[in-house]
Amino acid sequence: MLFNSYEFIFLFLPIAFVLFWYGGRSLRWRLTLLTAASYVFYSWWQFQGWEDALGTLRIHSLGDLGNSLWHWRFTLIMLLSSSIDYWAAKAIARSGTEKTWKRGILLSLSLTANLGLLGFFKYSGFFSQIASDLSGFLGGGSLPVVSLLLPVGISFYTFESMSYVIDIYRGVATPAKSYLDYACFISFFPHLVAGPIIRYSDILHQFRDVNWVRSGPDWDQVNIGLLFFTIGMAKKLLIADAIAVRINPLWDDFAGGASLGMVGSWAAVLGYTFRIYFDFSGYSDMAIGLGHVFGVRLPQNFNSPYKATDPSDFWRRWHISLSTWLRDYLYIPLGGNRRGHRARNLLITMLLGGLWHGAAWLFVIWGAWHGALLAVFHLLKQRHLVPSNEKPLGLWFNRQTTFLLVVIGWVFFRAADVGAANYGPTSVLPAFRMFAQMLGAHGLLPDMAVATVKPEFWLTLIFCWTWCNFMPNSSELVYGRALRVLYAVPAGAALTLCISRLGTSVDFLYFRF
Amino acid sequence: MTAPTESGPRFALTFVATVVVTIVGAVAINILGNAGDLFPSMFRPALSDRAWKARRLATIVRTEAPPKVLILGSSRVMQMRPDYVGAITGKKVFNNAVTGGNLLDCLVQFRYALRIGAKPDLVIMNVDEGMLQGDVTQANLRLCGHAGLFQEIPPEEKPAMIRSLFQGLNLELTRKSLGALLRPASDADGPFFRYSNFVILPDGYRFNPRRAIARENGDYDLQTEILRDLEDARVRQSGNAAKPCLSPKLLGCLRQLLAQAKAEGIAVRVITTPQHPSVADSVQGRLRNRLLEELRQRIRDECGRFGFTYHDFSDLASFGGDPNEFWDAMHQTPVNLQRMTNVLFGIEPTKTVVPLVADTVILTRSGYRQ
Repeated sequence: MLFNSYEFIFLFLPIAFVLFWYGGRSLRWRLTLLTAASYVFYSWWQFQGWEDALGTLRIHSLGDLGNSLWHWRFTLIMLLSSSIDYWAAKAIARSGTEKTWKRGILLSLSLTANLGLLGFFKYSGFFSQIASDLSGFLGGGSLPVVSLLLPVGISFYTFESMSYVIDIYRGVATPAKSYLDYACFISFFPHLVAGPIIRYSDILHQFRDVNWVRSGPDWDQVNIGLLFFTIGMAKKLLIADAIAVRINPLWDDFAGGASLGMVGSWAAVLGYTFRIYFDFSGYSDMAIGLGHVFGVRLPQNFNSPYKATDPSDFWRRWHISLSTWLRDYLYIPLGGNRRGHRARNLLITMLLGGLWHGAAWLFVIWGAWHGALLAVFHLLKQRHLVPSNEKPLGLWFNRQTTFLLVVIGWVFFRAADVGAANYGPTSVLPAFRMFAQMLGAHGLLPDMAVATVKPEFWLTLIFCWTWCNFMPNSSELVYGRALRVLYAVPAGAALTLCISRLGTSVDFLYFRF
Repeated sequence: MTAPTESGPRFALTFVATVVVTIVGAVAINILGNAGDLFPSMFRPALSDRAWKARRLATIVRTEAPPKVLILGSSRVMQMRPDYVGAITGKKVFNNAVTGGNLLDCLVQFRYALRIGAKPDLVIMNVDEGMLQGDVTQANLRLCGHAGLFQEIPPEEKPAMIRSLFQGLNLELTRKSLGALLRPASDADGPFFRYSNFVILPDGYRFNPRRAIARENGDYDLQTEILRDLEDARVRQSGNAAKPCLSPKLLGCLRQLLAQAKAEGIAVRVITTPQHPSVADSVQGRLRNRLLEELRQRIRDECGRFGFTYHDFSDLASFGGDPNEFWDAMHQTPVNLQRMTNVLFGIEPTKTVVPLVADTVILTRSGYRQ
C-alpha cells in the first residue's frame, strides 16, 4: 500500500488509528493491532475481484511470485527474516556476555540469513551476469542470468534486523520482551517500506513507554504527525512529481540515444537532483508523521542536505538513518579513522553503501565517488586547505561546491536506470555520455526530436534551489514552533490539494531499493 | 524537543474537518458544475454525445413515436444515415452510435432503450477490433454523465468507474465547474448537439461541417488525414505497454446484449467495417488484421449461438466500397456507408433507394444555426 493512495488515507489510516487508540488499552492489544495492520499494509494488492484474490492463493510456478511487488507472499519473507533474527538474538542474549564461539555462530547465522535473503532477491541477477561475463571471457560460454522481483522494503528491514542482532551481540541493547514486540518493530508500517532505518533500542522504550498504555492518543504528537504527513505529501505530490513529469521525457529521450545538448542535460540532471530530494525526504516526512500519529518518534532522516558545506556534512544530512547505520556497523568495525586507514575504510563503506542502493555498476561507482570525496575532503581538511565556513564567502563557496559534487554523483545514480536491464560493464556508459553532453560535447541545444525544456522549468529549478538553501526543513518547521489551531486550516487545505493530485502520482524513487 | 499545541484535539479535529469540508465542497462543485461532463448534474447536464443521445432518445419516446431501428456502435457508423436505413426498412431509425464507443456502451445504451420504452425491432451494430480493446475506457466514463445510462452499467463495473471518476477530479476541473455553475446553463436538450468539430442531428446522425465543406470544395486531403490518424494511433499505442488483445470482459458484453435481444425478440445485425486500404501495410493495419482474424471468429460464434446475422465488411470489395469515400483511415463517408447498408439488406451496392444528399445540404435543411 502507498501513503499517497485513497485507500491508505481514507480507509487504512482512520481505521488503524481508531482501533489502535480506542479499540483497547492494553499494550498487547496495541502491539497486536499495529503488527497486523502493518502486515496488511505490506501485503496489500489491488483488489480485482474475489476470483482474482482467491487465484493468488494458487502458486502454479515461480513466475507467480513475480505477480506484484505488493503481494501477500512477500510477507512470508519478512516473517521468516524476523523469526530467524528474533530467535538468534534471544539465544545470543541467553548465552551470556562473553564472546563465545556459540554467540559468534549465532550472529553469523543471522547475518548470513539476512544477507542471503537480500543477496538472493537483489543481487543474484547482478552477480550471475558477472559470472556469465567472466565465463564468456574465459571461453566457457555464457551462463544463465537470474532475474527476480525485489520484495518492497527488503533492503530496509534486513538492515534493521541485522542491527538488532548485532546490538544484542555487542551488549548495547536488551532483547525484545516478546516476539510481538520484535515483529511490531520490524513491520511498523510507517517506516517499513522506505525507512527511516531504525534501531530497536530507539523504539523499545517508545513501544513500552507510557504513550502506549495511555487511554487515548497524545494529541500533541498526533497534531505534529498530521503536519509532517501533510508537508511530506506536498513535497512529493506538488514538487517532486511536478519535476518528474518534466524531466522523465528528457531522460527517456536520452535513454533512446538522443542528445539533450548542454541545456537539456543540465535541466535533466538538476531536475533529478531536486526530485530525489523532495521525493525521498517527502516520504520520510510522511513516515515520521505517521509515527507520531501512533505515538512513536522516528528519527530525522534529512537535515537540509543541500546546505551541506562538505561531503562529510552531506552524509550527516542525507538519508541519515542509512549513513549512521553504515558508520556504526561497517565503517567503525573496519577501523574507522584509526591506524591511517580512514580513506580505505571510507571507500569500502561507501562502495557497499552504493551497492545497497541497487545491483548495478553505476551504483557502485556512485558509492565510490562519494567515498573518494570523503577521503579527499578529510585529506584537504587535515592540510587546512578547506575554506572556513565562518565567513559568508567561504560558507557559500563550500556549500555550492559540495552541491555541485553531489549533483555529479546523481548523474551516476540516475544513469543506472538507463541501462536497468544490463548488468554488464557497458551499463556505465550512459553516465559518461551524460557528462559529455553536460560539458557541451554535443552542442548547446537538444536534438529536434527531443522533448523541450520550457523556460518555466528553469524557474522551478530556481525555486527548488532557493527552498533548499534558505527554507527551514520539515523538522525545523514543525518542531520549532507552537502549533496554533488556526494552522490546521491551511494545513488541511494543503492536504486536500495533495489528495486531488493522487490520481496523477508518480512512484516513489526509493521503493526500488 | 517537540512544541506543544494550543489545544490538542481541536487542532486535529479542525485539520480533519478542513479536509472533509474542502473535499466534499470540491466534489459537490464538480458534480453540480459538471465541467468534465461526467456527472448526471441537474444544474448542468453532461454535454457528451452519450448523455445527449440518451436524453434525445427519451425526448423522442416522450413526444413522438419511438424508433424501431437502433444503430449502435462507434464513430465508424455515426454517419450511417437514419433516413436511408428508414427508407429501406420502412421504420423510424435512431443512430445511437457514439465516439469511442465499445461493447460496454452498446450494452448500456441497448438496455436503457428497452427500459424507457424504445424497444426496437432491429439493432444494427458495428463491432470492430477497436471496440474490444482494454476494458473500461476513459470514453466509457461518459456513461456516468446520464443517470439512466449509469443505472444500466453492469454492477461489477460501477465501483471501478466511480473510482475513476473521482480520481480524475483536480483543481483545474473544479475551477471550471465553479465557472460553469456561475454561468447560465446552455441548451443541453435541444434538437441539435454540437461538440468538438461535430454536429449531431435530431436523428443521431453526426457529421463534421468543416470536413463536409472542404470535401465539397475539393479541398479535402484524404492522404493527410490518413497519415494524421495513423500517427495518433501510433502515439496512443506507444503509451500503452499492454499488448493489444480482445477483451474477454467486452466480449461478455456482446454476449449479454445478444442474449437479451434474443429474449426480447429483437433482431440484430452485426457488421465489421473496413479500414482504408492504404493502411493495411502500416503497423496499425497489421495489428488490426491480426485482431480481426480472431474477432471475426468470435463474432460468428456469438451470432451463431443466438441466430443473428454477421456481415463482415472489412474488405471494401464485399460491398463495392470506394477507397476515395473515406474521411480518414477508419471513417467512411455516407456514400460507402450507404453501399454497406444496401448489402446489409440484400440490395445491390450502388443502388440508391432514396437520393443521398450531401452533408452540407442536410446542414442547411435541418435548420441548424452555427
